[in-house]
Amino acid sequence: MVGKELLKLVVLTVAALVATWLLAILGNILQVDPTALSWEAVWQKIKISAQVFLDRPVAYSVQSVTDDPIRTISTIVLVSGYLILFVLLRRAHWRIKEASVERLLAVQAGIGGRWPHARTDGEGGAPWPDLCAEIARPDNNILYLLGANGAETFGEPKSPLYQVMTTFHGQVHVVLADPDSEHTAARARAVKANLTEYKRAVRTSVARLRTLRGQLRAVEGRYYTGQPNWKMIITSRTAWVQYYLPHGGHVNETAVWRFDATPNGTGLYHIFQMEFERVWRRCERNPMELG
Amino acid sequence: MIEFAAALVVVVCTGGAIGAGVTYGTRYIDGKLRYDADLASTENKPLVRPSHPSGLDWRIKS
Repeated sequence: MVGKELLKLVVLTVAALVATWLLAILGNILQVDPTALSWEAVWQKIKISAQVFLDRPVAYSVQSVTDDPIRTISTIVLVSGYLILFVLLRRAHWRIKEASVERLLAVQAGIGGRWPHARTDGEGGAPWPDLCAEIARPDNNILYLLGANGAETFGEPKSPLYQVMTTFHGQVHVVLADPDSEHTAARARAVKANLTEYKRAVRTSVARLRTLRGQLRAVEGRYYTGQPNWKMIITSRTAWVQYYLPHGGHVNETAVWRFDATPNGTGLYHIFQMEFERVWRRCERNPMELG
Repeated sequence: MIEFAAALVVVVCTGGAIGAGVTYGTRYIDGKLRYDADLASTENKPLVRPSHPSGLDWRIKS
């Protein structure tokens, strides 16, 4: 790598000096009497200079270069500048091409954003208000929620989605952890929560869904018995995705990814929506009693 | 002898100037355009595409 860079430098230096020499020779050849300027005079000068060069090439070259040192140095600076620009433009073009591919990957995957956490306090958290606005949008007609106990997402009055679910009129599908599952107990242990409190949190969320159902909202809920893994909040165009770390840590401490629907329907939004529907179908025999 | 020394100085200075220009320019371009230039520094910072299909901008509230 170093050898290649050194060779490139040598080639550029030689190119700069050769170009300077050529320009100096050219400058010498084209020095004709301005009062007798004509094609004939220029052609004569070229023939004479060529003859002198062929007779004593080294001496002629040295004389051309040293006759006007300021011009020579200016030429070296100018030519070197052009060569540096040429090299850097090629590199910039290559980097832009590389960055274009990275950008295209993000666009094709439908990646819309990433936040380091989902805490409502603290800087840099995912924007719950924007998610609520997205849910409440007039042409959004679905709200799919896959979580663990749901209390801190929509179940408790202080939770971010509590209010927006009151006014949302589309279809709501919620899948939460079965409070009687052994995996739910393991999850409670992993986040260092009391199991009774954890189960109560699930029941709080179910009670909330029951209330919404009583208000004639199209709400359905199901339980899963496995280990919580994905947390998803999905609307008709956006998926908010997090992951429940198997060895604990509150899910609000994990990164939030936003995936947007893509025109060709192959981005990660569509894949996560299909995954939710797959989980929903699998939990068909474990519905919540919402009255 | 003096001419040779002068020529050597010219060659070395030209090479040095070109090398410095290319090195500095390359570092600047890589710093600005490489996709992973800011990877470590943005790990705990939000990254958001300003556009969203719904028209909301999801901009980070500062």
